[in-house]
Amino acid sequence: MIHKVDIAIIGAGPAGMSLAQSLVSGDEKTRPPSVAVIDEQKDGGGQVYRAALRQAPDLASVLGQEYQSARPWLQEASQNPDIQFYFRTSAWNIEPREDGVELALVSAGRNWRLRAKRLVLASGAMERPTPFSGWQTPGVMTMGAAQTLMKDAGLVPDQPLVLLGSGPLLYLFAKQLLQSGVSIQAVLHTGPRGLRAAAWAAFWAALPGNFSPLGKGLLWRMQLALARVPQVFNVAEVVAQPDPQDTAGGLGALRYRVGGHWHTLQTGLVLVHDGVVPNTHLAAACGCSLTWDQQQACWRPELDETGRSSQSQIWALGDGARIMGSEAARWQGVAMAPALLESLGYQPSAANLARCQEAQRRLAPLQRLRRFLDAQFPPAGAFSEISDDTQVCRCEAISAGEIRRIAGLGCSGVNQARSFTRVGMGPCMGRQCGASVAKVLAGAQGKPQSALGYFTVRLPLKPVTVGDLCALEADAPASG
Amino acid sequence: MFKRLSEPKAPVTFEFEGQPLKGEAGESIAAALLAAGIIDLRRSGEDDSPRGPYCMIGNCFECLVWIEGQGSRQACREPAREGLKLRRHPGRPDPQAFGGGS
Repeated sequence: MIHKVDIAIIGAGPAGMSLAQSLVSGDEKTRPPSVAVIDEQKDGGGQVYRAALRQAPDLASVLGQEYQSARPWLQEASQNPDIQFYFRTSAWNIEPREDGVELALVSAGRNWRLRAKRLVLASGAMERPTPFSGWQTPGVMTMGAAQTLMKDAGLVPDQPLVLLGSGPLLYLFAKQLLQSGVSIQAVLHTGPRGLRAAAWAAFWAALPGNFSPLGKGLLWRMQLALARVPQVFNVAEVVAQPDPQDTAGGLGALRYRVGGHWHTLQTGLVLVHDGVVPNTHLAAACGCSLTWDQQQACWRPELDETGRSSQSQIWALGDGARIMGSEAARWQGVAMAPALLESLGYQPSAANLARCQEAQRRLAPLQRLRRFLDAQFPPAGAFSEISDDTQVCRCEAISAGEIRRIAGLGCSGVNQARSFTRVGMGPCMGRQCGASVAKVLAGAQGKPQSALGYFTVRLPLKPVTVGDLCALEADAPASG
Repeated sequence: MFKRLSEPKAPVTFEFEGQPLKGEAGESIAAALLAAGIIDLRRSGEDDSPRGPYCMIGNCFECLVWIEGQGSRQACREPAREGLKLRRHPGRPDPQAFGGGS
């Protein structure tokens, strides 16, 4: 028998967890809807609260108060007997149907199917790809990757490293590294030293109701300055060079340009960050319309005010819908519950509606905060001018120069670029290169990036073995 | 490249390219390899250049390794276990490797 639920949620981060919890905590008299939460990790929390449920106390102080404070409510949601959890589970196919969706899932080698009347994508964010010459060299990683290693495995760099890019995470992670005793060789900012002219108005508008996050940001900046870490601003171009003596081909040096001058840093580890963008892979795979977000320079699913996508049975929220941050994601989960319940014929309880109103109130200052962050940390500098020798598609080793060549041949968009070059057809299936290819094509043809489209997503969404396919089981594994 | 802030509480021994290494049960294979100083987990199938973990959240597919004879497995998503036999993912398919095992 195929397992059936009313609502399936993909993603157990703050958005998915808070939505699941809200959906099943109506009043006592009514039967709650059946809710399943699916996630690739081994427990809830998403990337932002990764491992918060099992974090050793010695690291908790480094990861900070906000991270720690997520533990009680994540724990409460995780232990709710009315929510079915399927961790270490990947969705490799999503089929929209008239009366819902059918998911093909693989959990620890077990391949099974799940039918849901509603699917909610809470698939979170990914770091904005930052193509530059040599970025595929081992030893160049994202800041999020290094932070994941810290949260998940208690690993910190054991050698001096360079931070490169822009965004709030740069300051937070620098603070966490310094607190862990890691030596930061230099911070290369792709943005300016102070506030951007365009960000001042948004800063003043964001201030009421956001003293705490803005104050924290200022504090992190001060801590970095007090640690006397060399900082460079307005870095316009970077090149990562492998160490010719290293048999592993690891990073040897980072060259960077400020104005007309090139400089070189000898380093084996560079951590890169340029903000985050919605992970739209699943939304695109489901055939949900995406829309270009000019303010955040990224694609996001097109949603109505309740969070419903162009496919009426599929909804989306959290950073996978639009980058708003973890706190907003949690409130969005609360806010979405009544409308989602109503769409299934459930009567939302008075408590649910009251919580929804509170969530709407809490979201307003967070929206103003986001407008400031978007204005202060736009994708800029070193990652906006992509040099010809940069591998925009790391999997297929396709350079920006090659994309510019086919742009000249009249390539009409990212999907045609696939046929021309195999760009976006490697193992990552275009997750990393889609936006960069569009950006290079757009630049070469003088078109807006949004006019070049986004990659059509093909099955399977994650690698599955032929053996897994043959062993397709209808029954769900035990939840938990 | 990376060090542990504390010693593994549940240590496991596994093999990479025949070399015995120690890790912590349940942490990702990518984390265990990075802690052991191994950063080049595969060779590119296109230009044979060395590649290593990049995003650590399952998006970039740069950390592909051979796990127990099975190719194209994401090291950032698979947990380290006692006795695992791992190999660096070859760039071009190696016909002999298709026999399985390690």
